[in-house]
Amino acid sequence: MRKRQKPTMTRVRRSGGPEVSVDLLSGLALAVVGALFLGYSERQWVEDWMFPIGAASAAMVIGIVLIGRSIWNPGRRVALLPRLGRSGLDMSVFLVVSALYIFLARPVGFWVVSAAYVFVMSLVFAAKRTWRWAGISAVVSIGVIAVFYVLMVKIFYIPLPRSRWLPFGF
Amino acid sequence: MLLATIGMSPTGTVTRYTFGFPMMRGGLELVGVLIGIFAIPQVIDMVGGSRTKPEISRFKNRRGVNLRVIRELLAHPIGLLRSSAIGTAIGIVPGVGGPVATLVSYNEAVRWSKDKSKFGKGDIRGVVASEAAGNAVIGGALVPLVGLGIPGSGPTAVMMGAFLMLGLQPGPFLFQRDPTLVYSIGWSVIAAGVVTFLLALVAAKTFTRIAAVPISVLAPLIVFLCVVGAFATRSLMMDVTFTVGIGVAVYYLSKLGFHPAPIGLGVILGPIIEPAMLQSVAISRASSIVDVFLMRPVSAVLIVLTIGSAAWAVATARKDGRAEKTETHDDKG
Repeated sequence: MRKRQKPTMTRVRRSGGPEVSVDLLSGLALAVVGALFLGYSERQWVEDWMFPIGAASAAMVIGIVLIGRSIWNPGRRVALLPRLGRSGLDMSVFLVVSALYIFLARPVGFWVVSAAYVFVMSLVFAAKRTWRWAGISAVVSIGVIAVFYVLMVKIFYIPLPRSRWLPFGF
Repeated sequence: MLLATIGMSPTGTVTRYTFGFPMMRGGLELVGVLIGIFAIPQVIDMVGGSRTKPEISRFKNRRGVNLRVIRELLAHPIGLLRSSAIGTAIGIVPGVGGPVATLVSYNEAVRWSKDKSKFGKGDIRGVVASEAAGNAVIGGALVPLVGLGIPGSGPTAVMMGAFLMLGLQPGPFLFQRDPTLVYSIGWSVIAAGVVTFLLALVAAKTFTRIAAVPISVLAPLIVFLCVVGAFATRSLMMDVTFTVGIGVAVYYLSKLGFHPAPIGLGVILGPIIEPAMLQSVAISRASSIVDVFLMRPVSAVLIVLTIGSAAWAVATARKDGRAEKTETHDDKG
């Protein structure tokens, strides 16, 4: 007769990454966040710290209860690293280019970088990369950003990052 | 809620949780956080599915089809009213939302009907039930927002943010201070419904074309607008960085099965709850928080109701889980 396996908090999926109990994961997250905020709290000014200390303590207590519950009954499990495949690569490229966009927005010039960002993205994720599509992308990115520039800077007067070296604050 | 405590305290005497970064003294900007929670994860998800070609059905507008649809809808007045009532009631309960309302309403429509065989095969009664309930949720969700100052869903949380930015504090005092505004909100919901209906009739064909815009163009444009929104409030690039950071974190959490809306609710409600709590303690001149919140009848009843509703939610989830297990077991058997 096959011996029944005891439920555990974590297990390795046959198809890949490790799976972990949702309760354990939530409990750990809450306990760590609660401990972090409690660690940075001060007891000097009672009024200013009463609420955050209360919230952080509650987070810690709930976290510990959830960890305890996951030991008793692991319940539903989730994969720690969702299997994304090709889309994972796409998302990574998207995030790296977006991070570069934010990083370069101020030093280079917000509007110029925005147009370049839309252009690069529309090329990277294009279904077919042809010269025709590149031309369309260039026109669309410059055109749309130009429309937004007029709308936001000239009509609504929204304060956006201005370039120090390009004309018109591009 | 802890995220909302970052920055200057409500009394304005100390800065909290800056973790050694002086630029965090101003705290997190609400608009940026909301964009990070609701917009950025959607864009990341969109990019993740950019390689799969979406199926877009063609819109064929036959003559007189709209009138026929309206006539068919009005042929089921009881179903329409019942579903609207269910949607409104569920909308009032914080945190439940549209999907539950549509399911409950559809379930009720099936339960009340004599001929159940056509449900699930495009029966108009099913469409009426789910759509009417789904739309009625919006009006219902405004009840706790306007009446108590409690946003019960993602969209009402965003509305609450907009109210606060305009210097309005939703809640019982809003009825006293500015009743005209409260009624104008109610009328604007009705007007929005009518305008949406007319717009859908006129522009449905154009709207279907938006779905055909390639994600490679749409996604960067949405990010650009998110950056504009996050930056414009305080002119700080730090807000943009936080927005994207929160967006990535929320995307990961949503992949693990966590719902992002409670984070938004916490960030919105935190700055309201903390000063209110300090005010209550100061006014009561009580020696401890227990005296203020547990020894007063109104707050004690509210606390009991809160604990009761939480316990009810846990019990219902357990019951559903057990029922699901039994169903799976039966299916295997």
